[in-house]
Amino acid sequence: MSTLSAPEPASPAVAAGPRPGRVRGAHPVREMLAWRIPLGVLSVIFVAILTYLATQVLPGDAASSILGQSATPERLALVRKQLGLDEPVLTGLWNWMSGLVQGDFGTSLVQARPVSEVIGPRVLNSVVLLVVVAVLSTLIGAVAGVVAAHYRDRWFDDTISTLSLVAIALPEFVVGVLVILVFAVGIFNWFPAVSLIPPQERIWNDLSKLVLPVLTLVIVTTPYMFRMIRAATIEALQSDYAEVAELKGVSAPRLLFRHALPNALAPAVQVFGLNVLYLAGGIVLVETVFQYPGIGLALVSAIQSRDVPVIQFLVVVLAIFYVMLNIVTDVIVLLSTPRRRAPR
Amino acid sequence: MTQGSDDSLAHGLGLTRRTLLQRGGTGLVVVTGSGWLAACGGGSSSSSGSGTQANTGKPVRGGTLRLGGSGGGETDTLDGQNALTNTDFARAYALFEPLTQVDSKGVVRPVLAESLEPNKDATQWTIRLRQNAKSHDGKPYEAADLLYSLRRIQSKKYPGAVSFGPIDLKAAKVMDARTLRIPFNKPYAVFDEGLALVQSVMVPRGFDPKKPIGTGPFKFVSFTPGRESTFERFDEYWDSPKPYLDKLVITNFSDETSQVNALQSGQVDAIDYLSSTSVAAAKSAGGQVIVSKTGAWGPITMRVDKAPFSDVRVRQALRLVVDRPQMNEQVYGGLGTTANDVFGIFDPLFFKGLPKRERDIEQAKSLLKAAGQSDLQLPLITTPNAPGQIQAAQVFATQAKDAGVRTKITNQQPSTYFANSYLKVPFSQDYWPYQPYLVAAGQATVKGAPFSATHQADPQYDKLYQQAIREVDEGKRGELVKEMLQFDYDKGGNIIPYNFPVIDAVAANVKGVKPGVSGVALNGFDWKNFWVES
Repeated sequence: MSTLSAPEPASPAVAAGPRPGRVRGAHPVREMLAWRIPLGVLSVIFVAILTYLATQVLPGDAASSILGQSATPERLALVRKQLGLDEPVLTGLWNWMSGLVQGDFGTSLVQARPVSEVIGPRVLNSVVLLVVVAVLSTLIGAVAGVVAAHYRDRWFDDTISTLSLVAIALPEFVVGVLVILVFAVGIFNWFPAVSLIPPQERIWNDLSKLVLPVLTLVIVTTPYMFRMIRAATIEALQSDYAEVAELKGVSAPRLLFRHALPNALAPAVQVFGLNVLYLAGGIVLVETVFQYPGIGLALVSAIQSRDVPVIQFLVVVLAIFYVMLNIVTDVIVLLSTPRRRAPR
Repeated sequence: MTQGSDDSLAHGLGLTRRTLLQRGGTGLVVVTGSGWLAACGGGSSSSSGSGTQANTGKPVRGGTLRLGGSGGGETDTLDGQNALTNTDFARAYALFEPLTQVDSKGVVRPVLAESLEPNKDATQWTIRLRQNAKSHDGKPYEAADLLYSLRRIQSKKYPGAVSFGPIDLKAAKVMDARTLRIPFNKPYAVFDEGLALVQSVMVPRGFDPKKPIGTGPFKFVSFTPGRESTFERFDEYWDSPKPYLDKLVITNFSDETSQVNALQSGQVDAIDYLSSTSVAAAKSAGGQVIVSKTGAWGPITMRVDKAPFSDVRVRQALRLVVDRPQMNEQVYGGLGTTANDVFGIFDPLFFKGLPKRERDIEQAKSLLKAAGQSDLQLPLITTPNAPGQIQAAQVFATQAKDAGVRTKITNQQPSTYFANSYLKVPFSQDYWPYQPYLVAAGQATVKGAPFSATHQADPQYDKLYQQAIREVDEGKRGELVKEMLQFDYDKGGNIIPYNFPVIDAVAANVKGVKPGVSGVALNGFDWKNFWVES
């Protein structure tokens, strides 16, 4: 099919990754990984060191946040000593990194418990939210995008496109509050307004608490997916091969989902990647509105209480995740664009 | 602020245009967002009378009370003697008891103690414990436990130690199982009042904060810092048939709108420390709102040892620029009480004859002119540590403009503030619960007080204080307190424009909740008197 499309449309993937194909004959995917994985590892190490140094220049420390209003100079000195905050910066960094190599993420300064124990359940909560939202928003966005492209400029397309613009324009916590007003405390009393999860419970034991946060985030993320799929599908439908397929008498659903959609995949994967990045660490406001115990809120409160080991752990986990996700999406883009897969 | 930290991370981790636009956009409106739902509830300056409603009927046993508590965090602790956050206080009053406590009217009453008696010259105190007080392990709570407890507070330099006075715990003597006799190096007539701090809760010998036991109405079940703690009824509590509740759950909330939503949708039964804008929303779902007019005070503090505040005329002028009723209206929806630059207002010894301080811009201007400070510029460093604190600073800045005083407000994050600015900067704000006058003065205004933000060291004032804390006769002590109050009123370093309200809300079926003056939510987390109607 793709041989029919004469001029190569610029794919967003080209701009996102380093240009593959320096060595003639090597497989582009393998070549890209050989370059990107070491770079990713370096990035993570760099981020870890930078974060550690950044926490050192923040005014205040864990001792002052533990003591708060009872922070007399005498008590500050006492607690600093107890927490080992009086050691030099480089010693602290070295201790932390050598611990990390042995799989020890350190101990939370303010809670005096292992970091993994403090943050583990929250990571799990965030993962559940992320997966559910990513799957739903991708499915809804893709189907709605393809259908809207088919009925381009008709009432269905107009309605959905306008709605998606409205949704993009609304800040996420406003969506959250509206959703609560409609489904929890105002009009209907269907779902819990806040997602209070007792620490010993898991979120999947009470799915009703997942509904409103998921709904909010689906509303926030789906429009991007929808708009990208719609635009890419329209572009594909205007191409020569789509015209040929239509002239051959291919049915509309087959034309849309078999012929047009695969060509819209590459840009869609990029949007999917961005959505997931956002869901992984950037939903502090949504977590606040629903009091959802995820890692966004955990990171904010760790920064506020200057709990360096917890900050470090979360940042490193997020950095690894971001790097991996970027590599994976680039690989998928490469694989879903046959013309770029062949060795040059 | 949360937005800022989040964004700076996004920077390091690959910020895209989409996230930039998206998050940058939300960052602009985040400030207005937190009170949004509450604001939707409509104008809400109506004061509440429904405290009485929460107060009727015959208590019944059973049920669970779930508190959506504000102000907790990762630093949460179960060690009541080292309590810091509001949810720490809530837990401390469930698990433990102090020897004495400020009641809902502001009077210090014995709780775990049956009696506290000084000798004739107050160089020795005899504490007698309640006969049937028991720890959660079933053992009677004894004088040896009490001594252990006091020593623990002192040796760990916990907050309660600041009000022990010239205590000599080494020479303290267990007289019998229920009686402890404590000598003092100098006369100290207000030991009973000094023990009424939330951090002066008592623990049994061998106390382990990981498995906390106390004599309080509820036993420990589970605890996750920053999240949730659960407690169950202590069946052998000395004040039987109290407590009425079977179970108590305390959940942290970091956002007031979510607190109100949770009450409205029935996920919690009580919420605390609300702002006046939440009153209407909390009532709309049938909740009862309890507004406590308290003796808690939120001073604007001036260091009297630093220019320009070392000139008493500047201090007097800045007190005169404040329009107190307007500040109370704008910051607390009129639910607080205007104050007169003095504290300890519910102390039985408090002198009520001080004239009401009215705004007087002309007088303020002429005082500033006389002090050579007609063009005064003041950096005010503050932190969101108490309800309404930041707003009060802003209102002050606006009001001070009328007298030509320009105030530049710097709002620091709490951990920054407590490390760099607290008790150090010349012009700031502070937050105090209600305490009897001399206890508060010993912590705030005498020379060398541990939490003195004004750095006042006035020989005349300190002499009065020393005489007062030695004076056993209440009438004579009252005279000395009156002189100290007059000093505060005339020359002190605190601008105290208001006593702030504590606003709590409970579901319709929660009973036994009274307003209280202590400044601690839910009448000092008076758990043992609460009950739920089925």
